[in-house]
Amino acid sequence: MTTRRTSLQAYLLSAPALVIVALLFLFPSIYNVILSLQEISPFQGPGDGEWIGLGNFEYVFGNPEFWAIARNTVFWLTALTVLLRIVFGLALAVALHSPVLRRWKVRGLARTLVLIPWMVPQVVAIASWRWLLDGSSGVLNQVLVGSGLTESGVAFLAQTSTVWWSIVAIIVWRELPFVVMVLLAGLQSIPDEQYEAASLDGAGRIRAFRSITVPNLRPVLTVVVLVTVIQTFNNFVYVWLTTGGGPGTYTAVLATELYSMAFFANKLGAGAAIGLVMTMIMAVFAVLYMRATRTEDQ
Amino acid sequence: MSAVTQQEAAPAPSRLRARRRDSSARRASDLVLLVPLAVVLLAIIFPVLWMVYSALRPVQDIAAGVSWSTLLDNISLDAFVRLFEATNFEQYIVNSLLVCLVGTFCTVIVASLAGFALSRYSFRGRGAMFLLLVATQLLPFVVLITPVYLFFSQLGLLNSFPGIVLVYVAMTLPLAVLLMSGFFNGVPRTLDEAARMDGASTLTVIARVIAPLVWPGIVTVSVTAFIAMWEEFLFAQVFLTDDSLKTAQVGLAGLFGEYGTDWGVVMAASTIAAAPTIILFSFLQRRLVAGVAAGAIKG
Amino acid sequence: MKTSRYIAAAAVGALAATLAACGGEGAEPDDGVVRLTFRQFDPADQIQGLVQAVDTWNADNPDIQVELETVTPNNPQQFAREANSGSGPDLIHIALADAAFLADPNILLPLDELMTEQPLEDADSLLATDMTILEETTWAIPWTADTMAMVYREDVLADAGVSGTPSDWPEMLDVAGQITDSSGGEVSGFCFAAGAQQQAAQWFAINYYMWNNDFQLIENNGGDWSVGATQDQLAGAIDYFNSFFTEGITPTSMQAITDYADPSVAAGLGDGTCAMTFMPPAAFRAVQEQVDAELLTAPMPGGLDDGSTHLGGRALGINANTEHQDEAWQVVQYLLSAETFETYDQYPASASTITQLDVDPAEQGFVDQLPHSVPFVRYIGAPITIASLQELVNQQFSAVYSGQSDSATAAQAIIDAIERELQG
Repeated sequence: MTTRRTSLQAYLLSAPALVIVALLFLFPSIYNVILSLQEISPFQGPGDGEWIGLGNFEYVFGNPEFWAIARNTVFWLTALTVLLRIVFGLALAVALHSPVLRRWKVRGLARTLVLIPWMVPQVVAIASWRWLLDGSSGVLNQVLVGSGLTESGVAFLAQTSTVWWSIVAIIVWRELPFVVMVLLAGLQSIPDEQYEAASLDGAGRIRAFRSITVPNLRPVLTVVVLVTVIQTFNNFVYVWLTTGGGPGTYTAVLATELYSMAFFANKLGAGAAIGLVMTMIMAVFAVLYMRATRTEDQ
Repeated sequence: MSAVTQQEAAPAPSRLRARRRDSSARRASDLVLLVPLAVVLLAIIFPVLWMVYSALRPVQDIAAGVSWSTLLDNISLDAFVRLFEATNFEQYIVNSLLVCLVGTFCTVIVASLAGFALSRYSFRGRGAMFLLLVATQLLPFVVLITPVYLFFSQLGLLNSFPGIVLVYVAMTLPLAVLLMSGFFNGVPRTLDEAARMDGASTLTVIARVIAPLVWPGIVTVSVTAFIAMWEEFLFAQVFLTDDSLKTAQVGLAGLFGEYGTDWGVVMAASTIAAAPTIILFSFLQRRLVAGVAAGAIKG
Repeated sequence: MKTSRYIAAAAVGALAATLAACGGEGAEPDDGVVRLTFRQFDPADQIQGLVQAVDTWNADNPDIQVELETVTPNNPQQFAREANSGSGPDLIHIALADAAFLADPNILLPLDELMTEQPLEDADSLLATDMTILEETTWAIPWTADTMAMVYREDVLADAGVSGTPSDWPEMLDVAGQITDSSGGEVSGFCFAAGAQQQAAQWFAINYYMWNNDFQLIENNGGDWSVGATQDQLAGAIDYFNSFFTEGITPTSMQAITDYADPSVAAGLGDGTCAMTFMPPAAFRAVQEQVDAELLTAPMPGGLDDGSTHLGGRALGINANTEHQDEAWQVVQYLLSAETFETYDQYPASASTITQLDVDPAEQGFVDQLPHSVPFVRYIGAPITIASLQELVNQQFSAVYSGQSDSATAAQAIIDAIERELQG
């Protein structure tokens, strides 16, 4: 096989994906850059914007709250929820992969149950959780008060001490199944021979986990971390529908800021500028991350 | 082939026998895993159970607090009746199923090809392609709406299923490609090289040799893509305004009014919107286990 | 592999069905019938009366068939996007506050010509026309009207020895406090959705309070916009609403709530732990159905003073791209007529028909207050949108309730943010 022929093959195999992606992402992304340099409202036609150079970026960074909002996005919304998802996801995936479940004939049931939160549309998941967490009539508070753990209901979504943890709980609950499922698929692809060989060598379970499971899962884990980080960072639905950024602006994140800028303040350009800033942050992250994982692989 | 793999892979009857022999091996120590797992699973599904339960309570009781003694009094299907009276929800579900199944199928095929290319070839532009795929995920979705709308109105793809399917394939493709290449990476290259030695073409290698080994991965990608499409709302709302084309999410959003909401109907609609996916994937999940076993035989 | 065959079969079937569906659509039949699309944004379960009215029209007018299209939630940007690209429904339902954004010849058809050719029956008694007529051009016709009224449990008030709802805001705090005290803290004298969300209902009460105390967020001095309140005035308003929380009248949990008809508000009214709140008519009807207890309405504190409450509602507009202006206008006239309101459960935005309305006695509060309500016109046309003001105010008030800020700081933050926008 000559390199040139294999390259050609690779291009042919990638072509359909590349065409679709270019069609639906490239043109809109360029348009987004144009928007970020214009003053334009969502009610104007696409050609009606006024060029204002970097004015939108000055405006966005001039917001005294910008850095607090960026910090919320990076730490609470993204880093914390991704970390929790990976930890719990790995634990659940390993548990669900265990032969114990097959012995008790509950493997299929358990795997189905784990996936269920994912089947609930995000909007509904949030509505249900808000109702569960309601400060007076919510089930959780009825249990807490009923059992005497707290004297009166806890307004989970109204006080700064609990609000972020509540949002984090909703995100982890809804998005955990994805991580579990991908890791489980990864676990199932590990050839049993490897474990067998290890056990012939006298390796215990913990050593087998470290020397076989983790290295084999690494390619999949790498992608999962990358993708969940980016998707969560850009997600606006969870915060928007749970607290709208409140109390005050305590839970505001970049994506909600973008949304209210574009659609409430009618500053499509400033919204696009926030979008670009978000893209930059994630691009830097993606490059650093991919470099780090690549050197690890070698 | 080793003994353990054969036991894993053995066809149904002998595996049953093996399991029966195994069942004596159910140990008390298993409970160390099973009991906490059961608690966790219960906690995980509780919010969903509560949603279904709320849909079954009469409208006066949803707003009222829970009294444990009368938990199951007055359970009724009223909310479902109201839902179907007020909306074409059954039509929305059918539309969603149609769009998502076609979209998922296309995504999986296209993603497998590209994922294989990324996994197996080191071609010029591979790194760039990888970056491009990741880059598509970087853009917040709301900023894509206006340009894609303009583009589609030129092509006459508004208010049509092919249009929304195209959006959904594009939306799920980058992640699907990345995941597929991750799964392909887990398969030793020696396998496809051996098949090539026998004269198999690239497509045959993917379909006959590699795909069976990454079945769990393919199912994962399908489920991921399906769910992302199933719950997508923004594009569906903008591109499908015709009532006969609306998807379940658009129908669902229509139940949250500016002035008040009938929570029973919302929960009923949610239950119905979640049901097809739950049924579909419980079924797939059982197939998935079988798929792995079968894959191991061939391997 | 079996799974693949299942998936493939399903997908092929689905694909075939998709193609069939697309093929089936085709071009419109050329039978001389004008087909109009009317897009409205209220939830499907609130418009049965409107569906009935449209059906009546279609039965009476075989040559002009109207198709009702529901796109919720309200999304004026969506309509603008469609109209700007030359498509969209012929008739469009517009929230009064959005009319100014859509007032563009590329989006909405100016209606003045049609109005001279075929005048409306009672054009003079239309309410809120200052929201729809901008720079002497009529962009839409006010259609339905609403406002926020007090919703209360008469029996719960009576238990606390209170005979009627408060007539002004200071009395409101006293009465609500009295109800809470006499119940030993069990009952909230006044519960309201005090969330930080842009849509949180407290925005309306806050404005009513300000307007009744003769100040407002921004004011227009002949096209030159400025902040309409001093820091002291704003801080006073914040302290006023915060005292419902500091005095234990309103439960803290209300700070997480957005909707008037949130299940916890409905629950409170139902079990008597919430004595008073405020709602627009549609929410009131929804909650009435959800609770067994008898609910009544009354004007807001200061609600009978002119200009102390807002007149909200919907208008009707015609897409600038429609090919059937005259027919669309006929439908608009029908929708505005008394005939439509016989089945459509809304208050018409017309002073002459609203007084003749035969309303449920429980809704008397809305009817009493409406003649004194004024549209949000005082905030229209400023460099800062109403939606942004709403978000800013809800956020800053919420920040004080939750202890992140004090009233003076929050008031200054509101002023600074508004000034930033007005200069920008």
